[in-house]
Amino acid sequence: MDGLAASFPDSAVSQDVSLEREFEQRLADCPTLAYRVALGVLRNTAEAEDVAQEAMLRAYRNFHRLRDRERFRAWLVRTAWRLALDRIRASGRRERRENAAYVDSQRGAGTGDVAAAHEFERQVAKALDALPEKLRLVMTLAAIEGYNTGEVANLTGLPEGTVKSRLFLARKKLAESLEWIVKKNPSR
Amino acid sequence: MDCQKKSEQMRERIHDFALGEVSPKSELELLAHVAECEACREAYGQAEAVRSLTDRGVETLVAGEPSPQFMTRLRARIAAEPASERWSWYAWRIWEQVSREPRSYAAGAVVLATILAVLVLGLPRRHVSAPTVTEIASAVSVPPGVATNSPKSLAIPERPREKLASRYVPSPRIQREPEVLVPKGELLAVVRFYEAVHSTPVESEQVYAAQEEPQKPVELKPIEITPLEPLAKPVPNSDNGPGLF
Repeated sequence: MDGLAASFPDSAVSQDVSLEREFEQRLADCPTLAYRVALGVLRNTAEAEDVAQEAMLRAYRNFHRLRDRERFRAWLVRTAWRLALDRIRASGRRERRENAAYVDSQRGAGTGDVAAAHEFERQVAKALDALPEKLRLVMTLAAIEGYNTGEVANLTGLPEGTVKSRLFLARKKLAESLEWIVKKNPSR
Repeated sequence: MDCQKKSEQMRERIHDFALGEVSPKSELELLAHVAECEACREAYGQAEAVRSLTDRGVETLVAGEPSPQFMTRLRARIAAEPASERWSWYAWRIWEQVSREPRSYAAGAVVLATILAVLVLGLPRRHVSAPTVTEIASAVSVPPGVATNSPKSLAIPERPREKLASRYVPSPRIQREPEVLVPKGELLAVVRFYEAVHSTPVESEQVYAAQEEPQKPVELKPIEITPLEPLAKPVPNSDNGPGLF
């Protein structure tokens, strides 16, 4: 019994150390993902940061319960997505979000294009918000991951074929909503 | 080939193709058609422009990096996590280790059995004895008939006091009810008093009546008084001379 009792704490502590290290590695690359997922829902940098922090904190608290560490990114994405949706629903900030300065940036747009860019982003955001949640999630993740359907399938746990068809449906609906802008301003 | 008049269905397929609905079966066929048909090429280009624009629009919405203070804040929050959270972390890891080890189940069973044994056998027992009534040995000898008047249920067989003293072992754990000491001959009165207290209101007359022995009525006899007889006069003795008077 003595050997048994003595062996447990050491191995547990060493595993804790390895867990801590593993979580540290996740800390290095996952916050951006959580932040972007939250930003895709909230469209507000400060709120997106709050949600990303909360998601990472929950990830830290429950990291030891996650048996398949490779699913950490998918887990974090789901957590951030749910937290962002909860925040939107709880505070009823949809209208405020729509009127907010999107992403607080104009990313190099010229002075003359600022108003047009604002308007276009507003329309895109409006069309994206009008999508069903399943399509919206796939579309947002595809935009984050550079439209790599395999990666989106990993993050969502869906078959790749399902991701492709949802992505197509999302694009089709977005195109229907935004086609008039393209036709009106073909220079884009 | 101009399919402008041919069918709207083909244009729909071209549009979907441009938006990413790719079927390997029809992909080559559509590509070939787009290469030949100017109208469909135009429709394809337009649909692709819309797609690229929407994609870029969505990308813009989700683009960005968290602020430089993000990681600092996050690390501070993790460090400020309550100790219980950290302990749950360690506890979970230890539990995972223990649960994988078969010997731990045996050890757990032994610990459980020990706890149960202590709980069942080790607890102090409380002895509650019924109150006893003992008569004090009276210095006055009482006829044996008086003692038999006491009810048998409360009558305590008389034992030599030495035996009682030797049997009595005071224990701090055992709590005994105090004994009621009753003077010799008043046992019946106490019993009646006890019964009266627990049944009806007490009447002192009953208690006194039980306490005192029934007294016989005093018989009064007339006193005979006999008249006093006069004392006889002394006869002077002439022979002995005059007397003292």
